[in-house]
Amino acid sequence: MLQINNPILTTTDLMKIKSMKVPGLKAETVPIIYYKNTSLEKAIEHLFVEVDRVNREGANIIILSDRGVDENHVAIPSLLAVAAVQRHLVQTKKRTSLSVILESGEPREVHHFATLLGYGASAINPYLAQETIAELIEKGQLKKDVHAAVDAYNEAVINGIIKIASKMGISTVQSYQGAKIFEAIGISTDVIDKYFTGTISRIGGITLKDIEEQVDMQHSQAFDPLDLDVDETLDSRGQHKMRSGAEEHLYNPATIHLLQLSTRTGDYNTFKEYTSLVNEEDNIRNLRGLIDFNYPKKGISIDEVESVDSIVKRFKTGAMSYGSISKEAHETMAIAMNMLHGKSNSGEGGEEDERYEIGPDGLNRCSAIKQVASGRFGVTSKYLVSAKEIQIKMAQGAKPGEGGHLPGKKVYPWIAKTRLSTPGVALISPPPHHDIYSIEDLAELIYDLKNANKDARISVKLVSEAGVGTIASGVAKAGAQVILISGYDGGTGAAPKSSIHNAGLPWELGLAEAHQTLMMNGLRNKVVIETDGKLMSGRDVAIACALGAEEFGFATAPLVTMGCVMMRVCNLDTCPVGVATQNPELRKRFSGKPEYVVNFMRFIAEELREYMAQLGCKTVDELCGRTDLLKVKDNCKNGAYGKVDMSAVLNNPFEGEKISYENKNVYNFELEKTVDEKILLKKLSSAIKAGKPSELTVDISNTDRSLGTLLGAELTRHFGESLEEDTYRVNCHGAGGQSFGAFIPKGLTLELEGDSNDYFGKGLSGGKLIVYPSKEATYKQDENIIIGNVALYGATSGKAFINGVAGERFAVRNSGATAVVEGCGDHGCEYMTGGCVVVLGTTGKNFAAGMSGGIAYVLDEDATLYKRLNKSMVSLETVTDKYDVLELKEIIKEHVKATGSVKGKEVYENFSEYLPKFKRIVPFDYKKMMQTIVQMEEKGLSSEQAQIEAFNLLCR
Amino acid sequence: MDNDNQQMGLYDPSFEHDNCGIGAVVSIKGIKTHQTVSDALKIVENLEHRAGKDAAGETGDGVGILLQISHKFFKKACKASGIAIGDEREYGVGMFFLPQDELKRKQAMKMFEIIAAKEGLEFLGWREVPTKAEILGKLAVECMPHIMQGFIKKPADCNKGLDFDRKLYVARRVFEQTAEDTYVASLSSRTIVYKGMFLVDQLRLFFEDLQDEDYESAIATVHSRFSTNTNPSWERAHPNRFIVHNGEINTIKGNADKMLSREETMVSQVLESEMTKITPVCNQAGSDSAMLDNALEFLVMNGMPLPLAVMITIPEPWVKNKSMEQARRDFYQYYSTMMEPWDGPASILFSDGDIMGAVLDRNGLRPSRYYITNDDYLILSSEVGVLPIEESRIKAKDRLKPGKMLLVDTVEGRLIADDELKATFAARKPYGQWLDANLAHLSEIKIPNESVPVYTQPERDKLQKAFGYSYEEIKESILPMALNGGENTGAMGIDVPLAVLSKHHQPLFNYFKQLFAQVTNPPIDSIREEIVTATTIYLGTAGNVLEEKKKTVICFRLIILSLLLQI
Repeated sequence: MLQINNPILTTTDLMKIKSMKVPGLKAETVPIIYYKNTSLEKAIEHLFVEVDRVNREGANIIILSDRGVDENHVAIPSLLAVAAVQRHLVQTKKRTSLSVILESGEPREVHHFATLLGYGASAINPYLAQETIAELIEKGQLKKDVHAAVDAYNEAVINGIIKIASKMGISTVQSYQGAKIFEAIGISTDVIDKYFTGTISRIGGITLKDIEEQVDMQHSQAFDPLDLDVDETLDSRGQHKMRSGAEEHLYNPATIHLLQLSTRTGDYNTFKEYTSLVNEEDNIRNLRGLIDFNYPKKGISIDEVESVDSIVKRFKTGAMSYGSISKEAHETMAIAMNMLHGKSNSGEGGEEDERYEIGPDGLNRCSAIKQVASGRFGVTSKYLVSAKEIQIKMAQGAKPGEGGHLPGKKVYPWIAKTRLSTPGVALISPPPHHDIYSIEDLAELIYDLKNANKDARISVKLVSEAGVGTIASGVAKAGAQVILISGYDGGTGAAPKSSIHNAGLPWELGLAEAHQTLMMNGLRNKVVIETDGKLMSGRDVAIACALGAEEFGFATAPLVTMGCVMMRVCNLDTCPVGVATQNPELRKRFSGKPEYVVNFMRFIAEELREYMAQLGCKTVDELCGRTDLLKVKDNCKNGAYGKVDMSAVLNNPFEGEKISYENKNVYNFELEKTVDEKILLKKLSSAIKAGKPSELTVDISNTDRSLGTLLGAELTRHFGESLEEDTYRVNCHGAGGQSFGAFIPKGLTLELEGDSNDYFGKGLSGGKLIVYPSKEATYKQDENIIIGNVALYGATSGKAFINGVAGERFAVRNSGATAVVEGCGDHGCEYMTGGCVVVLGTTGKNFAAGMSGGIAYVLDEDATLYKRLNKSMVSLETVTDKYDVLELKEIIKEHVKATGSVKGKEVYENFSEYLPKFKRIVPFDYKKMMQTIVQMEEKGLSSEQAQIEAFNLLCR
Repeated sequence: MDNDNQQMGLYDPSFEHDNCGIGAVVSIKGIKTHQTVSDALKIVENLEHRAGKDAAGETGDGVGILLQISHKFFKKACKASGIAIGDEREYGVGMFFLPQDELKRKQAMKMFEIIAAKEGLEFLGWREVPTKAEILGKLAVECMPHIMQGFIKKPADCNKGLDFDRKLYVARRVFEQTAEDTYVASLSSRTIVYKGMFLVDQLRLFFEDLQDEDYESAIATVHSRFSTNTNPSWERAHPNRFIVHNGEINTIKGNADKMLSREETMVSQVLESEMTKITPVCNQAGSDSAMLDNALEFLVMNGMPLPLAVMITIPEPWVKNKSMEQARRDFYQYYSTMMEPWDGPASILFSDGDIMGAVLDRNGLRPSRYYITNDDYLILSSEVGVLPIEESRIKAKDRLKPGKMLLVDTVEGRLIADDELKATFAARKPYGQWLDANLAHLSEIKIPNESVPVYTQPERDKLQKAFGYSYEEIKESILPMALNGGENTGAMGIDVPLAVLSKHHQPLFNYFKQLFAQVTNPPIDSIREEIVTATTIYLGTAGNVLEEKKKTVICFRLIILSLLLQI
C-alpha cells in the first residue's frame, strides 16, 4: 500500500472530516464570508468571535470556509483570514489546542498554498480549483479521469510546497507550517503588524481599506451591484508571456525593435527613443520607476565626465552557460566584452579549452569571469587559472534556492565535452553548493579559489531578499572582493513559473540594504558592489550607482541585441533566432555580432554620462552611494503609487563621506604564510622551472587549508595538462586541513599519513591523493573515519586512494575521478556524472541519488546495499563483464600499492572469492548511451562521430 | 547589551546569522583536570578560520567555553574574596554581564540579591572576575560589560543538582525580566560559561580563571562564532546555558510562535506554580540558537531529561526510514504530535555538567568528528587535528552521523551510543499502544453518505470571476498540474510590475515573496534527498509535551493521509 500524506484535501476528504465521529476530535465550520459593504476589519473581528465561540463549544478543528459567495456575500481574502486567525490563536495561546483547515475557492497556484500553510493553515481544500479541473475535463480540454486529475493536481501542489520549503532548507511540512517564511512587499505596516506579525515589510503599501476595495471591485465584476449582466469571460493577465491589453511588459515589441535597430545601426538617437519608452513617466513598473533624480542647481559639462571607454570597464554580461545558449551567442558576448575591457561571464557550464587562447582571427573568446556554481561543471584548475574574476553563484534571481536539471536531450556532444560529462545523459545541479552549508564554509571556498588563482578577484553572487545586507557583510568578512546583488527579475533558461514570479526581491532593495549594512560594519571599502536584474537604460544604471553599485551586469538586453525576441522558449530548445538553442539548424539563424553588444554597452555608458553631468559627478565612484541625489518622483508622492514608501531605500542612515571600494583595503588572505608558499613552491621552484620530477616531505596540521592548491595552480600555468602522473610528490604527516588537495592538476601527488577534514580533493583536476592512517595507529583501518564530509566534490579527473572511511556525500558530483574508499556516509556518489568509485565497505543511506553517469563498485558483503541505494536513476548488478572485472581488480591493486590497505590486500589476494560480493551501480541512461557509443565505434566511426551518432539515435 | 541593535534604514537586527566551529573535551570517567580545560581552549584556538572578525581584524565575533564548576578553584577564589561557599554543589555560581555604569550596576546587583531572597535562596556574595581588557579590540572594549560572579547557597531542603538548578533557573528568569542591560551567561550549581567578543586566542588570556591550574573540569565545550555582522554583542557568543550550536534553525519563527502558544497547554508538576515567572519561554530578541537553548532549558527544568529534550526538538528523519524499529518510530511519532522539528543545519553539543552529548541534524549538514582515547577521553570537534594527540593513544576515530546522538555520562563513567540511547528512551513508555488508541488516520475515516457539493457551470463562472481567476491560470497552471502532476516551467525573467505597482487586480498572495537560503544555510534537494522530507500534518489538540502519558482526549490528533492512492 502506498500512503500519500498531503495537506491538500479533496472535497471528499473534507466531508469526512466534517462528519467524522471520533472521540476527542470535533470539526466545526466557521464562514469567512461577509455581507458586502460591511467593513473588512469588522468582518475579521467577527471571525475571531466565531472562532472563539466554536472553540469554547469544544471544536478543535476549525474549518474556515468561503463557500457561499453570492450577490450579497464576499469572502475575506483567504490568506488574510488564515493569517489573522493564526495571529489571534497565538496571542490567546490557543494555537496548539486547535487546528485550522481552509476551505476556499481562492487558492489555485502553488505559491498560494505555500503562503496559506506558511501563515498557519494545517490543510486546505481548494474546491474551486478542483472543480475547475472537472470543468476542463467536461469541456474536453483535459483528457483524464477526474479523480486522477485532482490527485495529480494535489500532488503537484504538495511537491511544489516541499520545494519552496526546501529552498529555505526546511524538510518537513510540519515545521514549515506557520513558519512565515516570506517577505511582504507593498503591504502597509498596519496590516502587517495586525495580521502578519513578524513578517518583514519595508516599503509600506496597501492598507486594509485597499484590500477591501479590491475584493469589492473583483466581486462586482462577477456580481453586478445593479444586477446588470456581467462579462463572465476571464481576463487574460499576461503575467508571464506578453498579451495585448494585459500586464505591461518592459520588453514589448516596440522596445525590442528599437533596441535591436539602434544597436545594429549604431544609432544613438534610436537608442534614446528606446530608453524613452523604457523610462515612460506614467507607466511605472518597478521601484526605480518611482525614483527621480534630485539634480543640483548646476551640473557639470559632459566633457568633464569619465569617458565611455572607462565606464564600460565596469560593465559585465550576465552568467549564461554554454549549454543554455548557443556557442555563437556565448562567444559573441565574450568577444564584445573583451573588446570593451569589460567582462563576460562563462556561466556554469565550463568553457572550451580553445577559448583560453586568443583565436587565429585575433579575437579573444575567453570569458573574463568564470563562474563556480553548485554543479561545478567544467570547473578545472585550467578553467580557474584562466579567470580574471571567479564568481561563486550562491543563488540565481529567477530561481533562488533551487538547483537545475539539464535534460539528456539537450546535452549535445559538444556540451558534454565542456561539462566533462556524457552526451545525452541528464545533468543535475544540486540546490546547494555541497561545500557551503554556512558562512565559514563559504569563507573556505573563497580561500580555496583564491589559492587556485591568486590573481583573480573572488566574487559572490547573491539574490536580493530581506537580510541580504547582513549576508553581504558576512561574505565581505569571508574575503570576497566583489559582491553581486542580483534582482529577482533576472532571466533563466528554465525555472518553475512559481519561482520566477514569487521568490526574491527587486535589486533596489537588496542593493540599498547591502550598501547600508556594509557601511554600518565598516566593510564597504573592502568590496566592490555589483548589481544586475533587467538593467535597461542609462537611467537604471545611474540609479543603481547612486544606491551603492559600482559595477553593472546586463543579460537580457545583450541577448536582445543579438536577436532574442523574447519568445520565452529557452527551455524548449526551439529558439527561433539561434540564441538559446543547441540545435544545429536553428543555430544557423543566429545573426548577432559583437559590435551590436559593444554598441549597446557604449550607448548605456553614454546615457549614464548624461545623467552624471547633470548630477555633477565626474566619475562613477563619485556617484556611488549618493542617495542624496535621488528622490521620489513628484507624481508618485500621492495616489496609488504614493502608498509605496521609499524612505528606507532613499534615506541611508549611514550616509556620510563618500565610500566605495579601495584596493588597499582588500581582504588579506595571507597566502604567503601557507605551506605552499613557504615550503612547497620555494623548494620545488627550480625543479618546476627545469620541468624535472621532485619529491619532498612536510608536517601539516588542520590549519593548513587548501594544501597543494597554490602549487597546483602554478603547475597548471607552467605545464597545462601535459605532466606525467607523479612528477611532483609531496609526502605529508599530520592532519590535513579542509580542502586538502583542492583542484590539483595532473602530475602532482599528495600523500598523507594521518587524517583529513571536509572537502578532501575538492575539484580534483587530474592530480593524485593518497591517505592512510599513521603507522602507529592501533585501531582498525577500515573502521576509522579518515576524511571528512563532501570529499571529491566536483572532481573532474585524477585519482584518490583512501585507506579508511569517508563522511557524508563522498564523491558528490564527481565527473571523472577514480577513487577507492573503505566505507562512506550518507548520500555517497550523489549527482555523479562520470568517473569510477570503488567502496570496499559499507555505504550510508541514499547512495547514488541523482547519479546520472559513471560507475560505482561496492563491496556488499552482507547483501544489504539494496536498502540504502536510491534506485531512481541507477541499476544494481553483479560484476560480470570481463573488462569490468579487470578494471576493478586493477584499481584495487593500485589502492593497495598506494596505501598499504589491509582490507584492500585481503580483497585483492582473494579476488575470486570477493568478486561475487561486489555490486556494480550504473545509471540507466548512461549505460545505454555508453553501449551505443561502443557500437558506433565498432562500426568504424571515430570517437567524436560515434558520440554524435549515438546522441542523434537516442535523443533526437 | 546590544548597543546598536536596532533597526536602521533597511537593516534589521533580526537578519543576523551566525555559524561557527565547535569542540569538546570530556573525561568519560568524570575525572576533573585542568588539562581538559586547556585542551578545549587549544581546540578553539585551532579553529581560527571558522571564526569571524571585524573590519579591522582586531575584534572577534565571539568565543566561549562551558565548564563544570570547579570546586577546587572556587574554594580558593572565594576564600580570597571572603565568600563562604561550602562544599561542592552546595552553591551555585552565576556569571553576570553587568552595566559598566557603577550606579546601574549596583542597582542590578541589588535587584538580583532581592530576587534571590524572594525565591528563598541565600545570596552569598559577589566576586569580581579578573579580566584583561587591554588585550581586546576596540569594538569589544567599547561594549564590554562589567563581569561579576554571584554565589548562592543551596537551601537545605533542596536536592543537589537539578533540583537546585531549577530554583536558580526561576531566579534567573525573574531577574532577566526585571533588569535591563544585564545578561546572565550562566547560573547553575553544575556548569559555568566564560565567553565574550574575542578572537580565538583571547578567551584564555582574557579570563585569568581559565589559566589557573586549579581550575579543573571533566567537561569542556567550546565555540568560535562567525557572524554575518559585527554588531557588537558579548551575549551572542556561545555557549548558551546548555548548548553550543554550529548551524542555523531555519524554522525559528514558527518554532518560537508555537512555543508561545504551547505555554497554555504546558503544565508540569515540578514548576507548576512558577509557570508565570518563567514564561515566555523563548526570548524572541535572542538568536535562533539562544531560543533553542531557552526551549531546551525550559523542558529540562520541567523534568524532561536533557537528551530527550534534544531528541524531540531535533529528531532524526523517521517517517521514510524503513529500517527503523517500530518502538523508535512510535516514540518519534508520539512526540511529533506535540513538537515540530526545529529544522536546519545543526551540530549541537549539550551539557548540564553531568552529561555531555552531541547531536547532528537530520541531513548531516555540519561536520562533527571525534576521537576516543585509550585513557577514556572523548575529543570532538568540527575538524580533526585541532588537538595534537599521539596516534597510539587513540582507540577509535569516528564521526557523528546524520540525526544521530552521542552521549557521555560522566557520573556513570560511560559513553552511550545512539542506538542504546534511543532504544532506552523508546522503551520508557508504551508509545505505540497510545498512538494506536488515540491517533486517527484520515484514510480510515468513513466517507459519509452524502453527495459531494458541485457547482453548476454558471455558478462556477461567477465564482472564478469573483475569486479573480485568469485565463492563464487555468490554462497554464491548473491544467498542466492536473495533467502532469507537476508545475509548469518558464523561461527568461519577469518584466511585469510588482503587485503593488500593477494596474490590474492582484490577489493578496502576490504581495508575498518566498524567502530562500543563501550562504548561512543551504537549500536542500527535496527530490534527490527525499528520505529526509516529511509531509505529515497533525490536526486537533496537541497535548502537554511535559507530561508523558496516554491522553485520550487532549492528545488527540488526526493524521491527514489522502486516501486516493492506495496501490
